[in-house]
Amino acid sequence: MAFVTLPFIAFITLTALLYFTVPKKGQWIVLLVASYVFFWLNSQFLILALMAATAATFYVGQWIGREIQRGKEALKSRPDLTQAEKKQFRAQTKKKTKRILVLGILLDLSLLVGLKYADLFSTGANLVLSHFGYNFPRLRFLLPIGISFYTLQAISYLVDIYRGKVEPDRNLAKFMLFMSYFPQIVQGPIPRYKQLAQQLYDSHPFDYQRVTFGIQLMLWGFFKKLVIADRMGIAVKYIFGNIPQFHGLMALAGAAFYGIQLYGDFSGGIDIARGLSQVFGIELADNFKQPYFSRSIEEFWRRWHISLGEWMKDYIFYPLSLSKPFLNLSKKTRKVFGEYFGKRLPSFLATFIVFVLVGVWHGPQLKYFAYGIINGGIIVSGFLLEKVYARIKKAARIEETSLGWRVFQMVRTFVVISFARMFDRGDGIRLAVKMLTSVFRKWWDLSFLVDGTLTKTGLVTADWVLLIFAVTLVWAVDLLHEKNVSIREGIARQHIVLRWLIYYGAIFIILIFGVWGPAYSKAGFMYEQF
Amino acid sequence: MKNLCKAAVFLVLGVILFCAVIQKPFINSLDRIEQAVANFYEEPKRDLDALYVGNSRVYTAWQPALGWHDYGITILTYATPNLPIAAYDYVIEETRKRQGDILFIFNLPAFNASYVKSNDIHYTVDTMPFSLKKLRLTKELIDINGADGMDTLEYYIPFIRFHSAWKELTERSFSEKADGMKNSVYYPAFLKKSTSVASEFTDDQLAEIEENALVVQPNEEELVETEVEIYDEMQAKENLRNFLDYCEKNQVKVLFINPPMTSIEKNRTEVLKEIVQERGFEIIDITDASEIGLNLKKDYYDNVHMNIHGSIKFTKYMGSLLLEKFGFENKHGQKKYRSWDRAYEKYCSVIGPYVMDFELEHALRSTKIKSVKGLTLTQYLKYVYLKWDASSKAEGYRIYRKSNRADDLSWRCIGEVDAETCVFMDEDAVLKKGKYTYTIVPFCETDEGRTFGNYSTKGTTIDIITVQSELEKTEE
Repeated sequence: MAFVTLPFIAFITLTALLYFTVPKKGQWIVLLVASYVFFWLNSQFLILALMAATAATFYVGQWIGREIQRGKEALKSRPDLTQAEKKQFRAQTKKKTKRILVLGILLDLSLLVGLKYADLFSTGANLVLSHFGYNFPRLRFLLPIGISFYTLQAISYLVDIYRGKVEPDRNLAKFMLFMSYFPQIVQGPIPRYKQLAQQLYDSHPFDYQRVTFGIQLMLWGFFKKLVIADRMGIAVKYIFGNIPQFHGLMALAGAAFYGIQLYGDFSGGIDIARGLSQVFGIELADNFKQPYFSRSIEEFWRRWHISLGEWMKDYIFYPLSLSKPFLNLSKKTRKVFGEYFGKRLPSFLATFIVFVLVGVWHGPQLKYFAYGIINGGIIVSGFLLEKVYARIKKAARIEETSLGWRVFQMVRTFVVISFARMFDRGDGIRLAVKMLTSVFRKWWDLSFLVDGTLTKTGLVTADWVLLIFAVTLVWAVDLLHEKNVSIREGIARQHIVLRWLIYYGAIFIILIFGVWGPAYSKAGFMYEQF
Repeated sequence: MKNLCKAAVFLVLGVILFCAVIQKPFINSLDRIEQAVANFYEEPKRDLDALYVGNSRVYTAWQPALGWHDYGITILTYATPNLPIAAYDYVIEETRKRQGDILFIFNLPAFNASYVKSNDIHYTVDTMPFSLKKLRLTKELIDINGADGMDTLEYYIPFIRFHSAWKELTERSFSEKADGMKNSVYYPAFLKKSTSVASEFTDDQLAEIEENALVVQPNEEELVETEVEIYDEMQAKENLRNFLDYCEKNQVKVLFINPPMTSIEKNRTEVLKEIVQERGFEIIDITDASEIGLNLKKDYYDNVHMNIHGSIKFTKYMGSLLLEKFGFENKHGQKKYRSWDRAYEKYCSVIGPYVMDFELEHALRSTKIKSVKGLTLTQYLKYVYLKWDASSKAEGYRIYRKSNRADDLSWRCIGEVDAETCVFMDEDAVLKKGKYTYTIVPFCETDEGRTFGNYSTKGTTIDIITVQSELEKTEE
């Protein structure tokens, strides 16, 4: 049951009706049941993986909590200890809880790695063992929906307990809801326990405006997903499937189209999840902040898939940067490369590792690994060449704040991201490299704009015209969001007739121009697979 | 509570808007099928002699407007590409409510199709007005088709399938009115594969004609193959027996027709024919195409569907036969049937470009009168001067003209001269810039009447420059 199907609409309508009719104390139970039904409908018996992860995380979390509490109480009961002894005692407790934390993380990761990366490992093992005359069976498993998301969610929960940021949950049933909350389980955003759990457990009375705002956001998500992403996806599929046919700007356009598709698909899905949660009275974190207005790759990654970026920052980057080996490395590099570079090199390395992990998180394929390396490499090289760029800008008398320069930076970022995405979307590294090089073959050739090439990609002229209008609309809305204009509040201030006309217009536009129904093949969300 | 009421009103209004406004043009995009039903419902009450019900072989054969013109009879068709047998009783009941106890004509081979494909359900029910009976029929067709679960939803809400047709919507999709052609057909395959002059038309003109008939034709070869695969003799017999039971029980006046068909079909239909005859129902057997002058190569656009020429011959033959058999009143000149006159006019204007001259199709013809040679066209200010070489055995000539203007696409007779006069001055309305095409048709008078000879269907074309500019040049 994908997000953009009629059964899903029926499912959420029924869930919402139940949610607002049961006694308020039971609202979370409705969400829990709905989440497990949703998960069952999508993954059937793989629901066991979610249940195992939930149970492991819950009990390990409690264990960590108990140890921390025991340590605190033990310390309280021993007022006679000196400061040094107290410090030693705390370190002992921390060491113990750390071991439990590592156990919990390993349990969670084992499910993810076991199911998602088993194929990669078994293929690798087979490659090595075949030289010695052994055969290792290939392991391929079906993936439960959202496993990459709830695994990170579980890890952050355990780490936050260990860090003393949150108390372990005492109610297994409620914790099951936190781990399985269906609007966000498909493709995020990756929530933090502190931000989400209590909202899920609290009761939420029916609030007309909040519900309409939520539905509006969902409609916007459907628009981006069905009208833009799934339509653009037809052309993207054709272009990436026939790379040798394209060259020059058309090849780059293919990657740019993919960028548009991905944004429509992913941000559309997030809007549906956030909108639906708003209907329930739950605020999910935003996962996108107008990413295509970014002026650098580093900024882009702060605006794109924000919850993953934040997660990586809090649970990988900082722990790595502040770890003993990295602090020692920093000391050494300062001696060798001087204060400026020496100080930064360890953090560059941590950044690089983070991006490689982001790539690997996307999937057990080399292309994602390459995708991570490319993004990490671009960011690190950007940092390294910071001074050179500054000198060039100064020599060229470029006004940093001028509109022209800002637009140039945005376009440049989009183009660089598009190049990198050839690895993300391409069917393997070889094809991605082929596409990348084909951009420089006859790069001046713009004939594809007029010779009908675009209409041989599975879309007709009317589709392209529609896409131009739709993408422009998304761009305009993003621009308003960039200027902190709330469109939904603007609509809410209008007269009821105009307001309803807008609602009907939006619904019918999606129904008519959306790529859905039996005339098309159903397209799931692209981030479901991660 | 206030908000709940608001939400309810919003929902109800939305559903009404959807059903009455949004969904309609998409169903109308079914075009010919939509027209078949729209024409049926626009027909004034109690003015039909008969209803010819069935599949694509019905509407490519019987041309109601022509039947009216030639015999003054009002026999409408109710046919969709593969109207399922299960829908026959629905059509009969709807017709009887509006037209009374009229004659129903069915093609017997149609009973061989015991399957119902997805598109057949859409073609059958989407354009029917809403009623509980329609819902029951939809359910019945879905059951035969075998669809289940969510897949059945598209038959109750056809928008689910057809919303993607937004690119094909035309002005006509938004029109509620039927085309007034009384289901006389003019879709591209039917016209294009005729011995037509269509190739002479510009792409724009062809597109304009085709725009009136957007439904993509199924691949008939595939259809035949599929039929072969899933033909079920027992089921076909049962369907026919059930239908005959229904007709007997409800005293429906029925006539079965065995039209010209392929050898495979002949064998299959033979079994059905026996059942019909055993039960005492009337059947007209015209499986021998040559009997009605049908040429399988020239009068069909594929192996089972007649083209425009075939349909004219079939209508002419069947009309005479039905008139003779049932003694229908010739209603020409009656005020009540003006819409049939208009339908014929429209029909002629549409098919005009495809048959040299509609009139000539019905006239006596002789290949012994050779076509004229050496036609030259010269513009003299407002006029076009035509000159040609005499044709042996010709006793006179008819001059035909058409142009590339939208209102003048079909051949039109603009004059007649005797055998000695091999020139003609077209003084008639050559005022606008454009391409004008002429052809000369020789004829002679015989004992049987005027007989027309060969002629160039392509004709000779002249580019007319604007008369005004030519005049100005002359004055200078």
